[in-house]
Amino acid sequence: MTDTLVDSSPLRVVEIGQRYGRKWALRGCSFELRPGAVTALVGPNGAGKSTVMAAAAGLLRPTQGRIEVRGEVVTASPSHPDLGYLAQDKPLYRRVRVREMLEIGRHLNARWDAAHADELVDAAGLDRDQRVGTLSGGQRTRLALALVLARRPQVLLLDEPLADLDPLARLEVQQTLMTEVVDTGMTVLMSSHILGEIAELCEDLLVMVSGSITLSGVIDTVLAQHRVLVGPGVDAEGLGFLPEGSVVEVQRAARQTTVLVDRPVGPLPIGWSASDPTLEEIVVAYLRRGGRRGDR
Amino acid sequence: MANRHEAAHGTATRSTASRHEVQPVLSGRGPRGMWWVAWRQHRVQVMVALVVMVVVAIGLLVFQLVLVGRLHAAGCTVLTDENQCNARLFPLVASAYDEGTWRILRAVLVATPVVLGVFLGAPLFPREFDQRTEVLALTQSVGRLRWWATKIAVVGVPLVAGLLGLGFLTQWCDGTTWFTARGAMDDGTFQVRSIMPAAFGLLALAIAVTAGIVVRSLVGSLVAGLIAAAGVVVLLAFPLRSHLLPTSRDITPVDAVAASPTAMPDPVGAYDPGSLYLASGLLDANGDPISFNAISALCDPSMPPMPEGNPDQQEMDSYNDKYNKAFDECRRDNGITRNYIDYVPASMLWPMRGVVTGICVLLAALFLAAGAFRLRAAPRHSR
Repeated sequence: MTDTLVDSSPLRVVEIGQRYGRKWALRGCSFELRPGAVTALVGPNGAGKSTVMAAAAGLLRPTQGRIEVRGEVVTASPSHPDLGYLAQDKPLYRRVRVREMLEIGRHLNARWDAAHADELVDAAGLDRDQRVGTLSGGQRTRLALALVLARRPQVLLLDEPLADLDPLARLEVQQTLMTEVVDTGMTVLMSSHILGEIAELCEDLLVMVSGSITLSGVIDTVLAQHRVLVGPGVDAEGLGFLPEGSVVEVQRAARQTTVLVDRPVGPLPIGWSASDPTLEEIVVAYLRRGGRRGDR
Repeated sequence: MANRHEAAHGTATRSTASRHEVQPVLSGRGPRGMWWVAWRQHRVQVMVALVVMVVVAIGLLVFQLVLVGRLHAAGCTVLTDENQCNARLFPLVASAYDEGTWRILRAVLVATPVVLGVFLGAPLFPREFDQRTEVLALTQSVGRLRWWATKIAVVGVPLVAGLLGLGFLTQWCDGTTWFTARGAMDDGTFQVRSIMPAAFGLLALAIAVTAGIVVRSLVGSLVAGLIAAAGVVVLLAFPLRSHLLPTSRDITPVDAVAASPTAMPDPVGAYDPGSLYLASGLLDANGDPISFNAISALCDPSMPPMPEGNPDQQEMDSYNDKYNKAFDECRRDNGITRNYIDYVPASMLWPMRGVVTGICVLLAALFLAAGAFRLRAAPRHSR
């Protein structure tokens, strides 16, 4: 998954920290996106997902660290010309009509593909004379997406783009998005709560808890590396056969111990069995572990 | 990995050719297109403000025509001084000048710059914050500073231009009769003529814009903007302006001015009706102003006693003569022999306009800079 056209990562986040008063919304947060990959950013509410996206879009000035888009350090707005950002609430001027909203997009952007915007609006079946404030949630999302995609971004940041959409609208938006990704090869970072969406749409995974990344990687690799081990009820000493630092989470019942480990384990003791975890099991384990650490 | 995309996209496949960078499509008009966007956003407010100014201008013209008619009807000339106007008819003209509608019109002229400045400035940013459309605007090709400056300019330029027109129209209207042409520095006149409405409007706009950025709610910024703008403009336009320039003091011997030493002095010396009157009274031996109460306290012990019982008119007249003579003597004995009048000379009209306008522009720049800094230093997002 190397991109021969661009030397640097499409988006690189380097040790950024964002403080609001005494509270750190982000701290020591680092990751980078693979060119052309669709990456899921997963985390509980308040983990800092929206904050890191807003910072990448130039809406926030991080207290620490830096963010680079295609090798250029992000400064305050305007957004990097190759970056598109769709906020979770899809802000649009509610009083204007759809056609005026497209005109506004054209007037706010140096690079604007009007034909593509028209295509997307037509595909969404939007009435150009309808006022934006009267559009349904799905229609509003598709109009907002048309505005972002008409910028022809190379890097697309989507903050929970499918939240609050009914199943049909969700499917339509997913299809629009994936068509665009396939056609242009753009790099996408998408935050989401819905693990089903991730498995379906994304290639890479970032798990964020309490303002920092606790797991990152290609989803297939992440799935291949992790194992769920089930064995008899044992205490910590009973897990001595596991390599040090490999345990992600241990769950104990009266007569059974379930362990998620982050690497293949050698021959198992008698009474233990291994299986492949689902992506959901892995993500939830990392969220719980991060949550416990964050609580300390 | 592509399987996930194909599953979502049906039969779509990612071809090598499609991975090449998209060539820029240059049909966009940003970031200069921000002018169009800002005008599209705020044109209704700007039009309403211009309509209000036109209505006020029409009111001004109509009233001036009425006044000219009354001057003619009173047998007075329109452009020469009041000495040519029949003294018997003068009160008729004066009543026209003082009647309620004229006072209301002057109050409207004084209030218009502040009200319109706040009306245009306060909602400029809170509406964006409320609908989060600043997130949309600032994640396109428009920088924060351009976004801020363009929005302010789109409402500010028509406001200042309109108020300049209104100020010079007021000046012209006032100049059409000798009666309204007087007192260019008087309260209620200085503030509404020439460049002054534009200066006050600009200051009110700047205060309201920054109130909107700080308060972030529409109603809150309207209220805060109106209170702050009215407070600052009124302070500067009324009490403070007379302290901004050197004042003149004319001093004359008491006896040369007033028959009675207790009478207020008439305007004397270089003072003319175009000046801004500040204060007048008597000076003590050291040349400092002294109040009549202070003189009374000083001289009371040497005053003749009041006639006892029920004095008739003759006794009272005699007493008053004695009192005045004794008071006069006491005053002279204490060195209180001179009147003074303090004023800003009429020749200082344009310097005063210049200084007050300069302060308005400076304060407006400071308020705007504070707002810009706030936008730059504390950008927010909702989550």
